[in-house]
Amino acid sequence: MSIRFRRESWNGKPMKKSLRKELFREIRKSLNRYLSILFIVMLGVGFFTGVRASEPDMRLSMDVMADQAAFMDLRALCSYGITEGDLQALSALPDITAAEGEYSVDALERSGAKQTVLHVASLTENLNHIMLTEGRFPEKPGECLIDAQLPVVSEIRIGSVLHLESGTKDPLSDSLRHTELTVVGACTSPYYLDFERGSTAVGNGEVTGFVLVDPDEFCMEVYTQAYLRSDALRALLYTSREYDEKLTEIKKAAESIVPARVSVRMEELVGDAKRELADAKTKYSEARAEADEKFAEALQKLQDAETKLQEGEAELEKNRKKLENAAKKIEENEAALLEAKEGLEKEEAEIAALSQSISQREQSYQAARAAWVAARTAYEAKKRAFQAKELELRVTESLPESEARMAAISRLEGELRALQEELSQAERELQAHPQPDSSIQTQILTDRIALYVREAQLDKTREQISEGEEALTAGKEEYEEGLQALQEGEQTLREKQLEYSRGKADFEREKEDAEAELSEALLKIEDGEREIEAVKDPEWYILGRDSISSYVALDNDAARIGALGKVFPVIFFLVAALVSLATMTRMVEEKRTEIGTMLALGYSTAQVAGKYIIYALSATLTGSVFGILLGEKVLPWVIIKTYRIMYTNLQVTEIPYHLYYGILAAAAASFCTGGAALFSCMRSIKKTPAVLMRPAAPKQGKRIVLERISWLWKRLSFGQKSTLRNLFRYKKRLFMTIFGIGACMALLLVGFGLRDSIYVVTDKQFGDIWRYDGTIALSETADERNPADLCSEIGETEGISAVLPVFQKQVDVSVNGITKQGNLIVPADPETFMQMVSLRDRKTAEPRVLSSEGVIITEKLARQLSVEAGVSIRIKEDEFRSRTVTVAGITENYVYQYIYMTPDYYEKSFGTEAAYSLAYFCLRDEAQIDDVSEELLKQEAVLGVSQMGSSKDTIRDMLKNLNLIVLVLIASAGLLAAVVIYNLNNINITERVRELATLRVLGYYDRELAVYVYRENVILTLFGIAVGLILGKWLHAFTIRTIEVDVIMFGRVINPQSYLFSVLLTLGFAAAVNFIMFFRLRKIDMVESLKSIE
Amino acid sequence: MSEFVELRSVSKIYRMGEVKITAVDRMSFTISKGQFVVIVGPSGAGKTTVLNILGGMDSASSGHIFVDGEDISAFDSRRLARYRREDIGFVFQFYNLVQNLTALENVELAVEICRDHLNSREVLADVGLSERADNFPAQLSGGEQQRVSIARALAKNPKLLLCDEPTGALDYETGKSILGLLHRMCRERGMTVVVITHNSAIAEMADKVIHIRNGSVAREEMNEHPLPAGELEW
Repeated sequence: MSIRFRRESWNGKPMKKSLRKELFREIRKSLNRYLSILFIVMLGVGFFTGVRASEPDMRLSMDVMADQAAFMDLRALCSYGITEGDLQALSALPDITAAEGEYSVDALERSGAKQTVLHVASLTENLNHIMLTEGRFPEKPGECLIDAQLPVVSEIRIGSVLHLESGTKDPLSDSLRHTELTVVGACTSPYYLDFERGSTAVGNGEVTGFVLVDPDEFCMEVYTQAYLRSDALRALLYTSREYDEKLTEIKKAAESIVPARVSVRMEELVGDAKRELADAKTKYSEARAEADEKFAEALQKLQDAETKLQEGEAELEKNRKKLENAAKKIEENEAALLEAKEGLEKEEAEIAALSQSISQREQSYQAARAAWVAARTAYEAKKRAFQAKELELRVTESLPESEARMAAISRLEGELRALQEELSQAERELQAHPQPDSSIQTQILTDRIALYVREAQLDKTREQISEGEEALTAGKEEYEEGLQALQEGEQTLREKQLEYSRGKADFEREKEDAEAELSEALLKIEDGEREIEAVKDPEWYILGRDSISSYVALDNDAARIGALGKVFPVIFFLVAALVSLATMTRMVEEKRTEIGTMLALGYSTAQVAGKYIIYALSATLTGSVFGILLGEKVLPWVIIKTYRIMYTNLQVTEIPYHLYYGILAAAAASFCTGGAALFSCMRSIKKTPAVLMRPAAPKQGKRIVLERISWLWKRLSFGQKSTLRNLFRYKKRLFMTIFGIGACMALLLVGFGLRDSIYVVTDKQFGDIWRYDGTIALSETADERNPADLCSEIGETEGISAVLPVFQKQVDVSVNGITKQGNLIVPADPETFMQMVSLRDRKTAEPRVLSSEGVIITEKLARQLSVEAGVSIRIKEDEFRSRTVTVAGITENYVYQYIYMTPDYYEKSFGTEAAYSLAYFCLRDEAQIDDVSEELLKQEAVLGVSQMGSSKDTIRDMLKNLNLIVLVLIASAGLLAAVVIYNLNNINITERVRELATLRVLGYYDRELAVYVYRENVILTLFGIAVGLILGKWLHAFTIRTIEVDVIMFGRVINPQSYLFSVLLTLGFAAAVNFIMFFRLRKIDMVESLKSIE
Repeated sequence: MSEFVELRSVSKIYRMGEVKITAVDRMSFTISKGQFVVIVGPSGAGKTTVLNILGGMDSASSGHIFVDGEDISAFDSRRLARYRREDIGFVFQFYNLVQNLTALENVELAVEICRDHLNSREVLADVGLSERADNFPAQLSGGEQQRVSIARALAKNPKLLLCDEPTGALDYETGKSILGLLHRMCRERGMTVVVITHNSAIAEMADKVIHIRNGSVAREEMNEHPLPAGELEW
């Protein structure tokens, strides 16, 4: 069916006249609807094509501008400058159309209150045409042109005289003939598109502007750089793939002449010096050999003398030992003698004591014997007396008894008894004095004999002792003699030693003198060698425009707009397409009776459907054409104009039409609206005319789920119930409205969110994360010294509060086959580093500590590599050094990607110590940065200084542009929101005009009617906003991911204010549209209610 | 005595650019309270315009309309709206029920905004639809829908019940039963009912018949013995 319709409608058969007329009437009658489709399509297509066209337009503008100024394609730099010969060789290359050298020098200008750094360069003739903005070209010596920017940022004006000074040790007169230049004109250079004039090793390190003079003003031997230009590239668009390919080809050709030029230049520089050095080397070797021989001889003699000395000393030592032994023996003998004497004395004493005791014993023995003898004599006398008496008695007793006898007996007995008494007494006496044992006497005798023996022995000993004493005296004498001999020997040795050491000292002095002489010679040779070595092979650099920062920046900005153009306008376009689609569908549904009638009258389906398709397509195509015409002109113009605020020297705005985007958008829009018309028509046409001509069965009312909850349902007012039912009754409209409002809300949210995300970069990175004030590039010549010393030296500069040596190197980081670039940072002291750069988790703000456990990497890098803490990554420093390290943590960071590592961990991983080439520093007072930088640059250890503040400004400027573009997006999204809401409301009211008319007839006041309608709108708007919040958050994340470049991580969070603004704006648009709709509601004719249902 | 409704020389002129179209030309008639009046005339005679003016949906270009002693021709749009909600009940040819509301709810829709209203459910029962109160319009037949429409008009307890071709979309039998219902309401509730139709057969059941032709009253007649609706034939 549809094939036939195409044939009839488009293959030449003219439309029936009445149908055509009817179509025009239809359009006129429903002009509102027609225009709303047209307008929405215009917005969608215009925005889509406009934003999409901005990227190529920006690039084209850049290209055209560069071509107009005959801007270089390549520039060549050489470490020793470019010679005339180099230039000739370059211009002889086949693809090079123009090659021209440029002299330049950075100088200080001090005429004003503030010192400015100027880049003085020579004017070029055939390329890099400057544009004179004021004044004239230099005509006389000592005249110059200045950067058009200079009068704005400094006190230099046309007519000023510049007093130039050198910023280095070399006087400026080495480079320039005149150091006082008169300004005769101002100009812009295609070399600088934006405000940035680059950095320098002079002054505060930042160039303020350029100064152009005639090449003759320079007295330099070689050009600073050469500019090259190729006509083969003219037809190609700069930054296009074709341009890059051709440029690479030309660059390769240029690089191929480099080795030849290098050897030519080297011969010029170091040929003579090398030959001289070789002579000096030969002389030195001869002198060296001679001296060595002489030294060897003298050394031999000395060694012999030393051996003899050692022998003498050994003998002396032997004698000394012997003498010592003798002395020891004498001492021993003396001790023995003394002991013997002591024994003798003791023996003598003992003998004396013994002899005394023997005498005593003898005495007492004699006494006892005498007593015994006396006692025995007495006793025996008594005994005899007694015996005599006894005999008398017995005699008496033997006498007869008589008295006398008796008396005599008694008397005798008495006398006897007395005698007895006397006797027993004598006996007792005797017993008391017994006879001493004779053995005692014998013992005494024996003892006495032993005593005699001992006495004899003693005498002998006494004799021996006196003999020993005599021998000892003799030995002592002998010893004294030996000692004397030894002392004499020692004296001799000492004399000999003195003699030897004198000889040795002489030798050493002589040798030292000779060596000094020799090493001086060697030093001279080495110096010469080093000098020649320092004349390294000249290094060549052949660079394209992508080595010029403003060209790169603009290229990046174009890419960013391009990326934005891939997301934003598509959503925008989708909403527009969807709304016009809904409008078309609705229209066909409304015209159901008419379609039925036409079919009944016998018109073909193609003719019937044709009307709607043509209606849709004509509105769409007209809208598209207007959209393309306006969009592709206005949006790129606005965007480029915006960028030209920053890129002041981008003098050209090229905004041609891009048919591709136009046709793409128009075709897509036509497909949506035409397709909707066709689809709806086909759905109607499938039914028989009779069915169509009857009024459509009204959409059945349905109970909704909510009604089952009767306690809630009962509580709702009548209108609320009706509203709820209506919402669910028109599901298509419900969806359309929610999606439409949601999408607009989402676009607004994305717009505001992008702004937030962009500002986070500068605010957080420069405010919270990087806390140091600048970076110092340490001089290479200073690297033999300890970086800590160097830095403490730098740290003494006034105004600096902290300095930290840092090793920085660009590395490749890879994991699982993904490779990204990052900067490896190894700070000398992690503690200080963590005060200068805050390491923390973005969401929890928990600090991350840099330790020797592993590296800390920045968030974006972690995300790109999809790694977490604990994972191993591979870091490639260069072709030969690639190590696996463990990620210990991930830190918040927005600009550039970093891998932080402690020096210990670096040494452990790479096996070498980190070579610190940079230093971070903090200031006591940030405002002093310029003075401090200047002070720093005067130091030998400092090669360059970069200030945090200026980096921040650069990035902020770069992002400010994007910010303006975002505002354009917000405005467009707002416009779309208004149109969408208007259109959907319009459909809503048109659909229900009969119902609303009836309500008016029933006596509803305008306000009540409005509430009845608006309640739905409000609910739908709120739902739409809710959907928009979710959609917007997601879309924001997606957009950020799309437009982000590797170097920058945008913020991921949308600020609460942005949510608020988006909601308020959407509500505002809804309110405004509803307010306008109120007038339409009031105009609803009650008569509509009386009409039959169509 | 002053009549309940009185049109005094009412004209309605539409201006379409240069052309003036006189839809109603100095029309005058009266209606007494409690009367069942049929206004009959061919298409284009100005019946609907009269009804619109009488119902406060449109204003007259000139002349006066008195309803219960008040001159509604002097009303501004807000007073007119109040007049519609308090004093007028309207029965449409195509019922004009809100599809999304049940029969009962459709009645309530009118009652909600009206101070002196009747109980919706009772009114619905009165028109014989108590069983179908909770059905949606699409589930009802044409006659039933028209009954809901009448119930909606009646529930407001209006001074004047205006019916625009109430049988126009209905079949013969149903049409007759609807007319019967209207007649019954007129009699039982003492309601003043005005029916507009092109069908002169209906005129026979009216107390008063007003014939309209070319925007003015051609003839007025009073039926001494109006026929019951059931006996009408067309």
